[in-house]
Amino acid sequence: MSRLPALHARNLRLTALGACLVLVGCGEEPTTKVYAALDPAPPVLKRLTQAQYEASIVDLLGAGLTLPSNLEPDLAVEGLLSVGASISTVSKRGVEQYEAAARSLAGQLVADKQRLAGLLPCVPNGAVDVACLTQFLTLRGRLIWRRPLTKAELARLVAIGTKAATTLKSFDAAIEYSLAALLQSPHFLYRVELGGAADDGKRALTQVEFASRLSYFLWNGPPDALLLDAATNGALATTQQVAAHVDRMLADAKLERAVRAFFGEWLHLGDLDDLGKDPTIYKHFSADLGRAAREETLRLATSVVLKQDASIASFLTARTTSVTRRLAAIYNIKAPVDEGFGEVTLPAGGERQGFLGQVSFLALNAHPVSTSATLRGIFVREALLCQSVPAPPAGVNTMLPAVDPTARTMRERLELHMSVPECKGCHSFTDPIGFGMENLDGIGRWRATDDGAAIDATGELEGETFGGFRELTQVIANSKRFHRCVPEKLFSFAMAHHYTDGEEGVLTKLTDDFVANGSRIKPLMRAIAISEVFRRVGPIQMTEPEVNP
Amino acid sequence: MSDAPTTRTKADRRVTRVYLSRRTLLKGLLGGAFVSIGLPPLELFMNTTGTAYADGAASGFPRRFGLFFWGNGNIPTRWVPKAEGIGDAWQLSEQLAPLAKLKKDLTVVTGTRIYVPNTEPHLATASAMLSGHPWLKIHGNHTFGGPTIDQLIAQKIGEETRFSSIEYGIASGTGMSHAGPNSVAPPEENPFKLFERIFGGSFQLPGDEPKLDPTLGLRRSVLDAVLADTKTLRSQVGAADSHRLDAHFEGIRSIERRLAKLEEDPPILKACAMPTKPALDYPNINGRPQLFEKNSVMAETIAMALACDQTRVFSNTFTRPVNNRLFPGATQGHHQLTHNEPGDQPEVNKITIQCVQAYADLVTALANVEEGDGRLLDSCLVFGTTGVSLGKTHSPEDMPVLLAGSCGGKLKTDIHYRSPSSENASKVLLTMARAMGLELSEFGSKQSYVDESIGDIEV
Repeated sequence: MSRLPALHARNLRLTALGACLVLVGCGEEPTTKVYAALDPAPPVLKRLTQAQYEASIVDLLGAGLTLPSNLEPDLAVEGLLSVGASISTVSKRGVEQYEAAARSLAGQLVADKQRLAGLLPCVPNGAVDVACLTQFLTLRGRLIWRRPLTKAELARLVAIGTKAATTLKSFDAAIEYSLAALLQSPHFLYRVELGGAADDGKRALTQVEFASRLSYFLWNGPPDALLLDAATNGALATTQQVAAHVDRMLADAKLERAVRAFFGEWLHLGDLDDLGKDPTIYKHFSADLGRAAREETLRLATSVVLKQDASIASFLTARTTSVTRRLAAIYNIKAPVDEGFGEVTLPAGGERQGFLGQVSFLALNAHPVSTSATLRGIFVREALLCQSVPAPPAGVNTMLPAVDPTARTMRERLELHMSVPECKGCHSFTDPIGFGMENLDGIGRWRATDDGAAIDATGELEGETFGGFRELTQVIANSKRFHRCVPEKLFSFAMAHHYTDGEEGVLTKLTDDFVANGSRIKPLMRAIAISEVFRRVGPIQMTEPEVNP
Repeated sequence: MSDAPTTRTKADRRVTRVYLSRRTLLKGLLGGAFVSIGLPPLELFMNTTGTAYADGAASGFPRRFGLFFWGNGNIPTRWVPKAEGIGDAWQLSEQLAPLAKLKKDLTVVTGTRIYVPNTEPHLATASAMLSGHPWLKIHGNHTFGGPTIDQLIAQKIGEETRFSSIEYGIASGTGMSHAGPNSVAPPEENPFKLFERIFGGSFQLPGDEPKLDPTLGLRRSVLDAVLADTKTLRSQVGAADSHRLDAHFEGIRSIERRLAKLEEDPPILKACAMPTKPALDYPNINGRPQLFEKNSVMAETIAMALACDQTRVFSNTFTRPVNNRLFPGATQGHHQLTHNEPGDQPEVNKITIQCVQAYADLVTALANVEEGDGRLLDSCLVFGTTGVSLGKTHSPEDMPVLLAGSCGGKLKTDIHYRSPSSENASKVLLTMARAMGLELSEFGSKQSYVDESIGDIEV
C-alpha cells in the first residue's frame, strides 16, 4: 500500500504548520495489484436517519400519513449523516419525540379504516380478538422489526394490545397501542447488527441482519417481504443468492431514495434548508431558494446515476439540468416552465456546467454577503478530493486586509493574507481553487468583475492549469483523485463508518474496478453490496472506545 | 410542614415539593367515568406565610440553572469592566451596557482562561468552557469531552421535575448542550413548539383538576415493553453501544416520569401562569433571523416553565460557534466580520452588545416574575458565555463569564471579579455546580481539571 496509515485517516487534524503541503501526494494508486486481506470492522447499532425513518414508515404503513415534523436531528460525522447514525447518542427529547411520533402514526393508521383494513390479515371478531391481533403482530411486526419476533416479544405485544382493547373496548385500540410499541422500540429505531458465526466459521452478519444492511444501503428503507423471506430461509448466503436480490433491488424505483440520500449527505445538501443571504446584495435570494437548489442537484444526480448510468465525471460537467423560474433567473437563461422544474440545456461553451456551477454548491459555500474562495476550496478538497484541511492554528490573527485601491478582488486581498507564513500553508492549498470560481458570486450569478476590478480566474490544480471556471470544473472532473474519492465516500455511506485499516485493501480493489469500469455509481453500489466486506463483521467490541485528543 | 398529606407518592418523599396527589385516591378507576372527589383547600400545603412551599433553601424555592451561549466571542478590551470590586466599586463596560438595570443581580468574572489545546478554534475552547473537558476525538468523531454544565446539573436534579432539562435555541444549529461525548441534546428552535411541548396538551395549571386519562396507563405499558426491549438489546451489544442504549433507556424513563407527573396534582405555585402563546413561525426577514423577537418570547416561555416547576434547568443556544448569521444592521455575517472587519471592529462590537442584550432580555424575563417575597431570578443562576474571547484570534485567554441571580443566596451579586492569575476557567464551572447543590470537590479533566472554586464570589 502506498498510502501512509498515519495520513489516510481523513479526520486527522494536524496542527503542525505546513501540514496541508504534506498531505499533497496521498491517495496515489497502488503500484502493486495485491490487495490486503479483509479484517472486518466490529458491528455497531445504527440509528435510523430521519430520511430512513420516513422511508420505513412509508414502506411499512403506506404513503400518505403525516410524518413527524420533529425527530432527533441527524449528526453529520465525516460529513455523512449515516456515519453519525452509528456513533451518536439519542437525547431525552429525541426519545420523547420517538414516542410522540409512534403514537401519532399508530393513531393515524387506525383512524384510516381503509388503510387499516389493508394491513389486517383477518377480520376481528369483537374488541378483544387475540388470534387476529396475534396474526397482525406476527406479520407486521416482522416487517417493522425487520426480523421474526420471538415468542416472548410477541406475547408482550399481544398483552399490550389486549389491555388496550379491554380498557378502551375496541380492537382498533389493540392495533394502535401494540403498533405504537413496535414503532418506538429500539428494534425498529436502530438497525441491530450483532453478527454470528457464518458457515465458514468466520464472523458475519446473520442473514436477517444482512437483509437490512442491503435494503438501507440500496433503498434507504427497510427490507421487503421477499428479502426477509430469503434471509429467514437461509437463502441469502451465497454471493449468487445475494447478487440476485441486489439486482432486483437495483431495478426497483426505491433505489432513487438511496441515490438521493447519498448525494444529499455527501454534498451537505441538508444545510440548504438554512441558507441565508443578504437580499439587498443578492436580489435573487428568496426563502425557498435553498430547497429548490437542492432539488436541482438531486435531479442531476439521479439523472447521471439512474437515467444515464454515466461516469461520475458528468455530474461535474453536465450541461443539462432542471431548474425553476428563480433558478433560471440566476443562471440568466429562459425559464423552461412557469411552475416547478423543467429541463434546460446550458449553452455549449458557456460559462458554467455541472454541480459546481449550480446554486446549491456556490451559495452554500459562500458568505451571506460575499463569495468565499476558502470555503469553496475546502469543500472541493474535502468532499470531492478526499483530502484533509487542518483547522487554522490557534492565536493567529486571521484578519483580512481591508479593501484598498491595490487589492480589490478577493484574490488580491487573500494573496496579501497569504504573505503570513502560518496562513500560507493551508490557504495556498484551498484558496486557488476558490479563485477559479470567483466569477460566480455568493449566490451563483455570473459576474465579470469584483468591486469593479477584473477577476483573474486562472490557476492550477492537480498539475493541470485552468483558464477559468469551466476549465477548473473540467480539471476536477478528470482528476484521478476525484475518481478515487467518490468510492471512498460511497463506501463510508454504505458501511456507516470511515474505512478502517482492515478494509483498505477491499476499498482499493473496489476503487480500481470503479475507475476501470467508467466510474459509474450504480455498478459501484452493486459491487459494494455483493462484496464480502458488506457481509462480514469483526468481534463485538467490548472495550471502551478509543479517545484521542 | 407538620401536616404533610399522607397520600404523597414516593417521588414526593424524596424531593421537597409538596402537592396533593389524587392518583392514589383514584386508582382503579381508570377506564371508568370521571369521578370528582372533594378535596381539602390546596393552600393547606403552603407554609405559614403563604408564600412558598417548604424547601431547605433560604427562599423556600428550588434553585434553577440556565445556560445562555452565543458564538464568536467578544472584544476583551471593550468587555472587561475597568474597576474590580463589589457594588459601587465597579461599573459596567461598553459591551456590558445592556445589563445596566440588572447590575445588582450580576457577577462578572474576567481574566480566567482555557488551557486545553486549541486544536479546533471555537469548539475546543467551547468544550472546555462549558464542560471542563478537552475537545476529543472519540470513535473517529470530534466532540465535547464531557457533559456540559447544564446537563451535569440536570443529571443531578432533573428527576424532580417533569422535564429534567429543556434545551432551546434561537439560531442555534446543533446546540451546545451535551449529555456527554457524541451526545448532543438538540435545542428546540421553534418558539411555538417549545411552548407546546411544555404548556400544550397535558399541562395543568395549579388548581386544575388532574386529568384522568385512561390512555396514560396504556402508554405506560407500552413504555414498559420498550424498556424491556432496550434492556435485552443492551445485554447483547458492545461497550460503546451499551452507553448509547443507556441514554435511550434514560429517555424512556423520563417519559414515564412525565406520565406520572400528569396524574399528580400540579404543584401549588402562585407565580405559575400560562405564558403568551408564541406565533406559529418566526421566518427570516430579508435573510436575517428574528433573533430578538424569538429570544424574548422563548424567555417568557422558559420563565414560566421554571415558575410552574416543569423544569429547573435550561439552556439557550442563542447562536452557535463559527455562525455566520446576519445580525440586524450588520453588513456581513458574524463570523466573517470577526475575521474580516479591519481596525477596532465596530460591527463585531455592536453584535457582541446585541448578544449581551439577548442575555439581558432573558434575565429580565426571570426578574419580572414575582415569586414568594422576591423574584424568580433570585433562585436562579444564569450562566452567560461564548466559546472564545477575541474572535479574531480565537483567543482562549480572558474568557467572558456572566452570572446572573444569586442562586437562592449561594452566590454574591453585583461583583466584578478579575482573576489575578489567569485562573483556570473550570473554576467557574465548579463554583456554579456547588452553588446548585452538587457536592463536588473537583471538576473537569486534563488541562481543564481544577480542585478549587472561586471563593470570592461564593457566599
